[in-house]
Amino acid sequence: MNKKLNKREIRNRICKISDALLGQPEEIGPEEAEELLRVVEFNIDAVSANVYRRLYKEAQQYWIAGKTLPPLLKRALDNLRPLTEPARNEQELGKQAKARVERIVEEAKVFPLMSQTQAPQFQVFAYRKKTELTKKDRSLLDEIAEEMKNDVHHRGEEK
Amino acid sequence: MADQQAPDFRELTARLMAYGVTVFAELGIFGEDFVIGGAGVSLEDFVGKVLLEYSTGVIKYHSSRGSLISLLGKALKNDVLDALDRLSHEREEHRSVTPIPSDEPKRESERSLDEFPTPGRPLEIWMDEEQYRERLRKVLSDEPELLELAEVVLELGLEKPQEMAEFLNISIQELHNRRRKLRRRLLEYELVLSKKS
Repeated sequence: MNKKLNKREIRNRICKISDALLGQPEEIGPEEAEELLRVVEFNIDAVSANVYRRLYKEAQQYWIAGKTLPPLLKRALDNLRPLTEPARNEQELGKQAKARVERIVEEAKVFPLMSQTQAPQFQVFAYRKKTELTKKDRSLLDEIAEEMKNDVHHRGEEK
Repeated sequence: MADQQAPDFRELTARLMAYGVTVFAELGIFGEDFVIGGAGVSLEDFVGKVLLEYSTGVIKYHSSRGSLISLLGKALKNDVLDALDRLSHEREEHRSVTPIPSDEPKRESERSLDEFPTPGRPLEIWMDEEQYRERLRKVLSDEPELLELAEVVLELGLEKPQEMAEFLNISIQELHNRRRKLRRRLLEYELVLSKKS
């Protein structure tokens, strides 16, 4: 006969089933963690900053009491310190600079994609009307040719 | 790696958050900020608490206890389940002393917090094995490989990765890949549901 399980036993049983299906926490590596957080639109920088503030508050209790911080708490504060906080040493300054450059590079990568969605810079009227090149087309093509020539000339000079 | 003697707390935070998201999704708690309605505690609060306890020595880790992330992940899951359990008890107690409502409509200012819409009963649903199975089958209905994995656990009761892989005739690596897909599928399913509601 089946023994009736109590609440704690039921919870443990479902936990076991859940672990067997979804795996242990260690199966979620850094790469997958990033992927899952992207799916639910969690910003890990913002989360880390909030956790930092919570730990910082705790650290203040140690400082007020004149006690030294537990090594792990000190490490956690170092690891989670937001880049927006003032840099305390050259290493942090370097980190901040790197993050800023990375952000600019990312923005630069996105820019051409955004500009592609806009209307083309010039239109060839002759193509649209299926006639010969118009005066405007010719002057536009001449302008482009001139620009290209200048570009080639400048590059040659640089070499 | 975060599991070594000197853990990287940023990586730990990300991995715990990701694990927590799957725990919340499994419980059907999904939505902005991942907050347990009624208790007002968010996933971020749970992760912060676990990291605080670990960094101040309340949670002690030794390599003999497996990996650090698994220890902290389990602590996180237990905290979430305990919070839901407490909430469920509070509701029970509150219900027993709540007066019988009159037919007369109340003004907004007269309503107690308990009368505002709160989510269902995630813990009760999660702990009802029948409902748990049904829900999982629904989530995986258009994913035959994942459904096959679920049936091995739900119907045959296999729990060890080696046994599961052998039964499915796949490698351990493939089993991990399927679990990874399952975690993502669960999130996407809940995301669609939350956007509909």
